[in-house]
Amino acid sequence: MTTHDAASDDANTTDRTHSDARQKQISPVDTRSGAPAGAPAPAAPAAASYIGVLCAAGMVALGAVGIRDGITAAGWVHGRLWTRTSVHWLHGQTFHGWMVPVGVIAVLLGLSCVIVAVKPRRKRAVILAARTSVHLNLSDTARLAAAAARAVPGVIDATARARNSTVTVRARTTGADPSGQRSAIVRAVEQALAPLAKSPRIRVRTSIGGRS
Amino acid sequence: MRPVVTAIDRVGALVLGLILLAVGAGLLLWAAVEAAGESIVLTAPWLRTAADSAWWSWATAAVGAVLVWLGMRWLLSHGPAERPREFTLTGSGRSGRLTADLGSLADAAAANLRSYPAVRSAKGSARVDRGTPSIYIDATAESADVLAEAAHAADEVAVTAAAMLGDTIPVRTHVHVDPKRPTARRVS
Repeated sequence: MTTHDAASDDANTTDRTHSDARQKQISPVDTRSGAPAGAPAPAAPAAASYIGVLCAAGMVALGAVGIRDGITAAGWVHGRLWTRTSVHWLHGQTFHGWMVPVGVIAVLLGLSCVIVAVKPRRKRAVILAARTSVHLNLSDTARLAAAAARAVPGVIDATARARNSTVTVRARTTGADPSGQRSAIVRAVEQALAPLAKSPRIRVRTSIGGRS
Repeated sequence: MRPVVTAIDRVGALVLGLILLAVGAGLLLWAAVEAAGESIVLTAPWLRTAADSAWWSWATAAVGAVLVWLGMRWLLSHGPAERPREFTLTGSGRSGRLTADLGSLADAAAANLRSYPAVRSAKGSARVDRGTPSIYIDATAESADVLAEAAHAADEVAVTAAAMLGDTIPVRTHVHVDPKRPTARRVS
């Protein structure tokens, strides 16, 4: 099986940015007088929101422990005070071997949390050419591109993945004319995605026969 | 989700991250010191004295109640998307208040969009997104071939809906396509 990676090929043939005459000049929201106010672009929830939920749940759990100790001290529940026991355990603590892996894990988790805290929300749609905010999901964009690629003669199967400004198509072809097929796939995907306000960069990766 | 909730989540994640970093770095530093042959014993005499006091359990109960209340509020703030209250139109004043129900307008806009041949289905709703009351329309194009027509129809409907409210409310339309679904021709 031979794999042709169009992304690594000449950019003029398969990796096109389309900043030419085809580039549409329509802005997502026309700001002229009489045009609707712009809607915020669709975005996935901030990754920090998931940690926020965990923090909130942890806060409730800690609070429950504190309340439980109060109830225990009042004599309604029998048992030791968990917070007092924890302080006693902490006071006079000496070094143990398990602290090294725990320290490494804590540092890694801490770094992840800090990165997630400042990470911007991920966009999940692209803008269609219109005066108002009309969007197409990235998953729909990928489906359109894959369907367009599958309709090209010589293509056995195709899948696609869409990002904000790039669509990557992986196609299995008969291999009769690899470069011609790649160009045909690019043209078909371009045509399918023509309604987008900004033409994405199209990357085509083809493989002959087997899986791409 | 309201912007303030997202901001609190980010601050929470940042604080948690910094605490974990501090604890992790402290443990690794402890290990390094131990490896150098020096022994460290962790002591917190003031904390132990406090924990052994009679007031400790009551203090933990009070702090616990505050933590539970704050934690529950934080958790519940992640609920479903906020629906906008009635939108006050320009012209409202001392003599009277003019309001519009954004949900009804969203439904009407979606119904209008459904009448276009390029649109298979459409559903409208009013939401508050990042602090801004907005109208949302979820539409499905009849086929991939008519995506541009569906976008144009959505644009026309959005302009009309927004104009009714003086172009102050954003209208966002999400167009979906299903390339696998065969195109059905309408006869009327």
